Amino acid sequence: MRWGLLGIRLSIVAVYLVIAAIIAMSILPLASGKIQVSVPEKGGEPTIDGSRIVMTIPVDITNDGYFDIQDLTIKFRIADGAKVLTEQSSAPVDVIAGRTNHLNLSLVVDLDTVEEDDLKDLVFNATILDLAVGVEAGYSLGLVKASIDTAQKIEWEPMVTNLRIEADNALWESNGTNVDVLVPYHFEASDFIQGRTVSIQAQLSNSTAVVGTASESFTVGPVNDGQLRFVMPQSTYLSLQSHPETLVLGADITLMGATTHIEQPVNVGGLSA
Amino acid sequence: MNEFSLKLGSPGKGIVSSAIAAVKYIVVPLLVLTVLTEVFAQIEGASTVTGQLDLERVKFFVLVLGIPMTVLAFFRGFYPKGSRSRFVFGVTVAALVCAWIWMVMMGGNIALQLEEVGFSITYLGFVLLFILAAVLGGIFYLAEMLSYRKEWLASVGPRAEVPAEGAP
Repeated sequence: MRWGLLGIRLSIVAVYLVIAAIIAMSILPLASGKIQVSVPEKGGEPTIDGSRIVMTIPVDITNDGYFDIQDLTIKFRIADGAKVLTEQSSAPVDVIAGRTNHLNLSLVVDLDTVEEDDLKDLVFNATILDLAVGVEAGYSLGLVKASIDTAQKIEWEPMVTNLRIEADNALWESNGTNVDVLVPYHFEASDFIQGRTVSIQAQLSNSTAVVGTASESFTVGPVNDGQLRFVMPQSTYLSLQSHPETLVLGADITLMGATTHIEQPVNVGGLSA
Repeated sequence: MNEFSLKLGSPGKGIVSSAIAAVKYIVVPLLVLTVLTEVFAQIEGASTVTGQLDLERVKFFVLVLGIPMTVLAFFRGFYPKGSRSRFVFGVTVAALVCAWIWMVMMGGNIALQLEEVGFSITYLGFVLLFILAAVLGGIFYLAEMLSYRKEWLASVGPRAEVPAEGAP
């Protein structure tokens, strides 16, 4: 008996048997529905924790197969055209064979890590975003790795809506030595930004110089109405009365580190204090 | 002695070896691929899958690598155990089997795109296990040559002994 040759032959047979056994033990549970995934209807709603949006997805996976599902990961990527706003993945978890696994897959978006320009789009602008979600996991003792990816467009509602600075409704008030120009503003805020601080820096300019400034800082509520108070010297006011011209109101509104700029004409002709 | 001489071999054993290789590496794979193509053709909307899997390309590799393997398998079976010629053809066929496995199993990766859903499966581990078995097949022919060498040299007579270097 040539034991060496027999040993090699048996090794080859053993490798094929191992392959066949792993394939059979992998496919049979999948084909017979022994691996099931259920996502409870409640859950998956994003919660807010400081500057982070946390989305926890509770998933029950019954794995009555023979092998653990390894490193189950959910990934997602939000992009505005070619610009990637955020790319996150959940921590990998194992789905142990022979039992129902209750998993909480968490996705965290830290808005502090989003660049200012991108953040401005999310806070102030409605836009169409590309959302890519992927699930990947290993199986069959790690010999197989599978992933499923989906891509879709989502309509992004801005966190600040109906933002208006109502220059047409400006009121002019004399306060003795100066004239105050009161310009109403209005905006509505999503739940996520309520309780945060917004600051508004504004100025009124004519064609040559700044004629008045205003500054506001307050805590954001669901509906935010107020007035920007520009203090204008009496002499400037009288000059505008005698030589009417259109002023430009420029306002920088800063929220969560993102700033948007608004400019509006203010027609001072015919107004009276 | 020329160990590749056609006078040393057995055509019958060569034909058997060649036929087995043809069945393993051409006939059965082509049948499986043809059945798969037909099945996909009958499933509505599966033409995209067929196109992306490019089963015609896999069939091409089955033939391009399978035919030389079948021819070489003839010589592997043709030459007797213990001869260098059998070892050379055995190892060459094993190397081609490795390439065949890699090409037919698409390098251990399949990626499909169905409208907005992408699906990818990587099974490189399985491919490497199959290749391990093929490599063991090559090692077998080395071990076989070493194991049968003396017997074979004795069977072909004293003139088959390889003369020592410098010998007249």
